[in-house]
Amino acid sequence: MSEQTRRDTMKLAAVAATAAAAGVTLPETAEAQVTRPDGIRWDKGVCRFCGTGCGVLVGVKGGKVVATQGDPDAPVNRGLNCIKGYFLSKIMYGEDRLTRPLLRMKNGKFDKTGDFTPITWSQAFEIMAEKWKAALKKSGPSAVGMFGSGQWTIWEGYAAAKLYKAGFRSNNLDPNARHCMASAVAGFMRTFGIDEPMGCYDDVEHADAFVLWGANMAEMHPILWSRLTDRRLTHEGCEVHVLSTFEHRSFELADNGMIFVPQTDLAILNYIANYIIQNGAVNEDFVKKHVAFAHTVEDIGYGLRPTHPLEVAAKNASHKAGQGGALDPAGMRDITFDQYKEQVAKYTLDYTAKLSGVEPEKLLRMAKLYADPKKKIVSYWTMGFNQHARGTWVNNLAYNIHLLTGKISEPGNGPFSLTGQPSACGTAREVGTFAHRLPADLVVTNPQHRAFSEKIWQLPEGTLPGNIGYHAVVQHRMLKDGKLNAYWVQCTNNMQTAPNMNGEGLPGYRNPDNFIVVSDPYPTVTAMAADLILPTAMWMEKEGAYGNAERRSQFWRQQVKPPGEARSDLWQVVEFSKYFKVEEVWPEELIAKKPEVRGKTLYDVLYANGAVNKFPLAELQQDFDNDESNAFGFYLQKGLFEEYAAFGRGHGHDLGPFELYHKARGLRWPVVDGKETLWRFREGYDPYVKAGEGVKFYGKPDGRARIIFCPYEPAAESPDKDYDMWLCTGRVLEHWHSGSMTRRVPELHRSYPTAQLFMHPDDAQQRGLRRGQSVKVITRRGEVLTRVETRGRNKMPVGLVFIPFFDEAQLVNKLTLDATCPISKETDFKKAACKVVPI
Amino acid sequence: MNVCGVLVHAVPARADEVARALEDIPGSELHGTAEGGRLIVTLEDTAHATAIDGLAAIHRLPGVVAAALVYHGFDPDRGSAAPPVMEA
Amino acid sequence: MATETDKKAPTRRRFVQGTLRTAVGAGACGLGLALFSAQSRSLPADALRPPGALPEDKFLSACVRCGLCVRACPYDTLKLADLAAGAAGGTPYFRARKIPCEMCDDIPCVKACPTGALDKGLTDISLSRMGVAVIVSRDTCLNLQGLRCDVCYRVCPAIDKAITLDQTHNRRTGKHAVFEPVVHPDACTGCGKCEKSCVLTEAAIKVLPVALAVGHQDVHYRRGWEEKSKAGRELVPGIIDLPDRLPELKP
Repeated sequence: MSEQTRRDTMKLAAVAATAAAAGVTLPETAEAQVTRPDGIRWDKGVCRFCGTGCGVLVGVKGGKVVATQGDPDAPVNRGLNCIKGYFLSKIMYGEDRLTRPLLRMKNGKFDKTGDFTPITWSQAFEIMAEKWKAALKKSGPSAVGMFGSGQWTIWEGYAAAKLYKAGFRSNNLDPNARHCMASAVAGFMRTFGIDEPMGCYDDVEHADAFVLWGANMAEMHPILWSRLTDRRLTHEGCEVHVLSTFEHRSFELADNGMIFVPQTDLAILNYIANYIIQNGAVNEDFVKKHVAFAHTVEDIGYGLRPTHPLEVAAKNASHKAGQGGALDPAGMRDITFDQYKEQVAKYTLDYTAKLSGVEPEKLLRMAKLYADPKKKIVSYWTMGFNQHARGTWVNNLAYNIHLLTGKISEPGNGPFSLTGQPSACGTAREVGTFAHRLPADLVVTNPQHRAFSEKIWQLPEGTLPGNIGYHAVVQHRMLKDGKLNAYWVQCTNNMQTAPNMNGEGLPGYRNPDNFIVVSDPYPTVTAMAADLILPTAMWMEKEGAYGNAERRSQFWRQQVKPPGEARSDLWQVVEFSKYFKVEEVWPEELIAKKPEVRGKTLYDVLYANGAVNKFPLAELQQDFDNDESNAFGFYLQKGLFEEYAAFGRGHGHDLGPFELYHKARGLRWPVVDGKETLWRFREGYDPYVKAGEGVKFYGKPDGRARIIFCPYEPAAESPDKDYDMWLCTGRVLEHWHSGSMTRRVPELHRSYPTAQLFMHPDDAQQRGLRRGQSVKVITRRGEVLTRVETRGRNKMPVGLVFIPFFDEAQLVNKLTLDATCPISKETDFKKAACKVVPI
Repeated sequence: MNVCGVLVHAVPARADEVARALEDIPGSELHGTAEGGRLIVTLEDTAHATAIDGLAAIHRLPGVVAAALVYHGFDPDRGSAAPPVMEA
Repeated sequence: MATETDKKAPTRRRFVQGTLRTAVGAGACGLGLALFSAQSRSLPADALRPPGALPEDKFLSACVRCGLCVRACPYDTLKLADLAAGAAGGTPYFRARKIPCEMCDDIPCVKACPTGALDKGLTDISLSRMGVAVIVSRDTCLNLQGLRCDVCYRVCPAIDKAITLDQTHNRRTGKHAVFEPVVHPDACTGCGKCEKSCVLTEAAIKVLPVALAVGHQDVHYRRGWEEKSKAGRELVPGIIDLPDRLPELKP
């Protein structure tokens, strides 16, 4: 800070203190950055953790975040936080923050079996560039890849997508949102043709009833749950239905709690559709005008390796598509309402109750609720739906119910897919960091979409590859098989969180053919499995932007400097691009189409392209650092954001001007004519629906959403005589995902120090186990040591155990199966067969 | 470098007169007024006078009942530009 | 048609004698406090006895300071009081904030006790009463401010019995709920997991010895609604009520 700005800051503090003593509020002291008599400067930010997107105020003193508070005026949380948010100020200050790049070395040289040794940033980028160039030379763009994050800021995801898709011409970029939200994305695209929820959190205050399908909101969306609870308490007749495969904390509020056999949610959803049809509760006017019917391709396998017996057996497994009459698993054919009616007729109350194990009267009660035209209903779901070998189907089936009854796209009525991560929507989805996507819902397989993207990015025609890249699970398989050789992981702990760790992930990382780079603030399991670790600036150490589950984009300014030599993911990606000449990554015929790029670096072509570097440093946020922009000499975040926003403006994804977001407490897109959009697809709420249209699902060319029939099909792995129990994995309120931040906060660590195996007391007794006893959980993939818990927060049904994955001392993903939904490619972390034995 | 926040109480009828007179005191700046003749003022060091001299000058102004020093900030550090960071 | 169950608030409403919502009023337990401090002059109030410990005076005379219970504890929870601690020196105790009782199903400490100072009659650990958890600081408890912590609740081995969350409307935000942790002394074993895991620097929930923490309902006044529910009928049967005269509704 210059002397002048220090003086101004102190003066501001003096004015604030004096005004406070006089008991008056002055306009200038009400502004965002206020330094108070205690010397703390407060500014607007957003919570680092879940997809709820709580607004926080961040207090800085002496170059350090010393305190945070829930923003009392934030519309999402009104000053509240959960226990993770309460400790935000401590997450950046773990004792083992990484401050220098570390390379595995022996005798002064890189060695895959060497020890981590500090090097400089330029040394780090040099060896990376060498490995990337070697991989590109050997096998082309398919040999390089990257794994990103729904916790990246918007511009980090965008910059990385550009570097990979345009720079390296490789679509082998996928985010950890693949493990989290991919089924929701595929569900939206199939039913509506456009991604992300139509409603918003305001639905909570308008609904008469809530149904939770595979969502433990009480722990995973604590503040949103608090709003839902308040509605239940204060709105006469409000009811809450909760479905899960075990009794978790959300059952505490349930008027109708249902425990079902894993995978039978498919049948339950079809039963409700059947009930609605059989009882004349179809909203015929709505269906006639706004809906068309389809039948999905069936018998689609489980996304395992093609050699797996289940894939060999499945008629329409992914790898067979187009061969020998096999269909694309994502495909569907048009049918009539009568054909649809016939398909769901099989799902009677009797059949469904037997299959699912849910008491028939409970199913009936829920079906009646959905069928009642006077009840406004919001259906919520998270990982129970998305992490499902038929994840896309269950998403589609939930939409079917809301579309049949017309309970959608209006206050208090609608299906709502919650996100797990702070920017699964804002970054992973909207920016297009998936292996099949480009920004604003565009896809790599569509030549028009590629051409449109090439135009905005000022690239020669044909730069962007049209093949779908390796998705998350396939990345690990290809690393193991030696086909993906130069690999970069940012902002996620995927060794701990990806399925079948010992079978695929770890052998892939340690394959001598591969060079693995991990960027992280802390030495995570993933970082320790890498060859090169890059120290990363996190959260308030950079200017950032997240997009939450209700389409709300929220910005923050850089509040503090990162420790040591740590640099943000954004700086790392953009700086790395300087190490590549266009000639080294693009073929001659491509360069010939735009000869002026000859001799330039990827940095010149992708970032110093006249658009991204358009905004001068003079436009930086006054009195705040911006390390990346100062390093490159222009307002990098603004340039990236504005170039990215060009994709969505006028196409249903309109983002407002950059500066607006630094002033507002987040805005829900589409932002058109200076207004947010709360409910999409409905006239009056959505600027894209014209007067007189009423409702229009404009994501589909014919304006009609699809009701898609999807049948019940069994899980990839079910308990048998050798592995006699269902194994379910998941999260807890106290810890964020793999615990790399929250386990470094002593108070949070103390509150939930180690993972446990939740088990029914009868199951424990039958195996001769006592509560607290050490046991081994064993699956066909591996085993984990843990302790049995028969009491406590989760009440298990007989035959199913649950273990959280936050604890790096208990790597539960050694147990899980890498089966995915064949459409969304999202792993089913909720269903595997295991046995539990005493040690 | 000294920066002071001073709450000035003027005779309510003479508040405007006091506000004008403040302009002649080096290093002073008026940031707002409140009913009852209260004025919110900052004082900083100038080349020729310190902030405390300014405070004494305010006390002597006609129409001033009281001038209370509410905030005093002192910044001894003119050298280092960067705030300290947490080293791991 | 709303039934009785439909009408009730979602939290299990528990009509428990002595539901604790706050630190016990000074008046109510002043006597207990005085007695207690006289009895255990040498042990501070946050020192808790092992499961099955007899009432303090009987315990002190029955305990032979052999340390076998301490040795039997698999979690290193139990300690021996410093020998310099006077009358209570050498007796077993634990501090919940340091290492709470893990409530072993087979209660090895009780089994190890050679004298019955730890009552052999205790075979179900959930019936032990090592102390009682009390929200000692409503001002700092995060849940009482509307935040979503409830760590004490989720960590409780007797969740939904010993601690429940009482949900009320948050009048400040207007659209959230407050989840107030409420301890039910009839189900609380005093294991101290809640105190141990409270995330605040100074725990807002603490386990206190039963004598300190639990008040008693006076015998001269009964709660009518509880007596009725216990009896399963009106206590005075046969009382009639005449219908009210109301304007007739036109069809």
